[in-house]
Amino acid sequence: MDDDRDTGWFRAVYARHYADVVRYGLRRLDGTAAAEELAQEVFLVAWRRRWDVPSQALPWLYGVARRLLANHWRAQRAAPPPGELREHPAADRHDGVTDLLDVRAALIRLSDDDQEILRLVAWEQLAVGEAALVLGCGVTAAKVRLHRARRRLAELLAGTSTPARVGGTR
Amino acid sequence: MTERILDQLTATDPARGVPVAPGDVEALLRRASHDVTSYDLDGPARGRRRVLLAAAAIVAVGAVTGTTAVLLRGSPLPAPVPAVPAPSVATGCVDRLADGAGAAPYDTSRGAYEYLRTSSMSGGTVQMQNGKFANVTYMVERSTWTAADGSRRVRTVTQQPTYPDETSRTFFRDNPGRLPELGTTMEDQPAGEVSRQEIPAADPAAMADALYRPRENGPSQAVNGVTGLVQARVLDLPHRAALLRFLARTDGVACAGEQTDPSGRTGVVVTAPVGAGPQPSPGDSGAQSVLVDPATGDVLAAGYTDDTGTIWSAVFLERGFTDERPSA
Repeated sequence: MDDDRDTGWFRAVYARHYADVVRYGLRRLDGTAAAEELAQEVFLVAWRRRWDVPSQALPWLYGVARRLLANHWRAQRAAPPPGELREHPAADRHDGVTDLLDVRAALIRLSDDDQEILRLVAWEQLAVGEAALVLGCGVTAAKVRLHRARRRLAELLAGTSTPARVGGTR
Repeated sequence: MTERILDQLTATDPARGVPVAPGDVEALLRRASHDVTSYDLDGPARGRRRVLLAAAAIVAVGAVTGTTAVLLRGSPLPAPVPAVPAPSVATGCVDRLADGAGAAPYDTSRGAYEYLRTSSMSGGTVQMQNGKFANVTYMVERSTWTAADGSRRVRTVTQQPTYPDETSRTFFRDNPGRLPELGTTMEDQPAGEVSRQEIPAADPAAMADALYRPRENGPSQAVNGVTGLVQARVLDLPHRAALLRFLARTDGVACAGEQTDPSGRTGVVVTAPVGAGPQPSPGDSGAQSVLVDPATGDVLAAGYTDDTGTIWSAVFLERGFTDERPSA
């Protein structure tokens, strides 16, 4: 199948991963329409660059989504906010469980790098090696980043926080 | 406790259980059929596939933005429409900047650490109970001392936030957990933890190959690539000149007069329109910009320009090599 990147191959990739990419957008954007629009843009890039799409396509697709979002923020001339900031959806979707809200409130106080690797592993359910592919770093580096991010999140939840690092430069 | 953290976090997934309607792959293929660029549609020779190409592009973009989280409200991603790209803009000015570039004070600096100090704008938006939004912005100054093995010491100074209105001020006063920690933090990052951007050869074509990816983002991607490089590395004069010649050869890149950055340095604004790739977005989306010191070819700042002016979102304050660095 890899050697025949025709519309049949593309339809299969789309059917397999479209919902995953929409959910990636739902976790980072405000609303289903924007998430679906993002997913269409991601798959448009995937079609145009289909010879570059690896057989394990999902981390690659997440990587494209990440880049498209970064470009969109620039076009909006707004510095991206420090994290997942919606107040209501968690309560709506999880019956207002206070502990869960605490976790999300702590998450947004972490640096952007910490947030992203935690989201990729906990929400996108990627293995560390797959998250490394999305982030463009080595597996060892991703493990270190995940370990540190997890520790910082735990410290925030325990109320013994070390200062959160703020994104915006790198 | 850390063992349970990922489980707890997984349970907070805002997309968990959210139904997703099937997409329209046929509409997407119809849209792609109107592409005005070939996008390398011929099949590659065996071994040519670069499965990590996208990941490399992500690294470049990540270096520019340093961000991963977003709140996008009210404006879904613009749907590009097929159209012919805008004609080239005269680029002689950028070539002249390259011609005139001379030595910078830091060119003679020596030391074990590559040092960079950048000030950038960050911020956030929170939806309040009444559905309206509270906004906050704050400046972050980041200094890095990077050793030859890639290990580095990072000092981050987060300054006092500012608010556009009293409602936002009140909201964040009542919800301090929504704000970043203020003040100075120091962190040591071991070798290998953070990818270090390679400096391309001092050749415009090499710069284009390394920095102008993906091309479908149009010329603003070239400026973003330049920003990412100067934010990550110290460049000598041949590389600064090659960087400018790369921009000069990029369709759509042009000069937009002189400006002064927030630190008081004056330079020439070099811009590239946003959304002007092979699948251009409708309307005027502004331009990504860099401020270039005509005396040295140094990139002083990076930002966004539209008809209301330029916001310099990143200012490159200091760079060079040194043996000195603060203690951890």
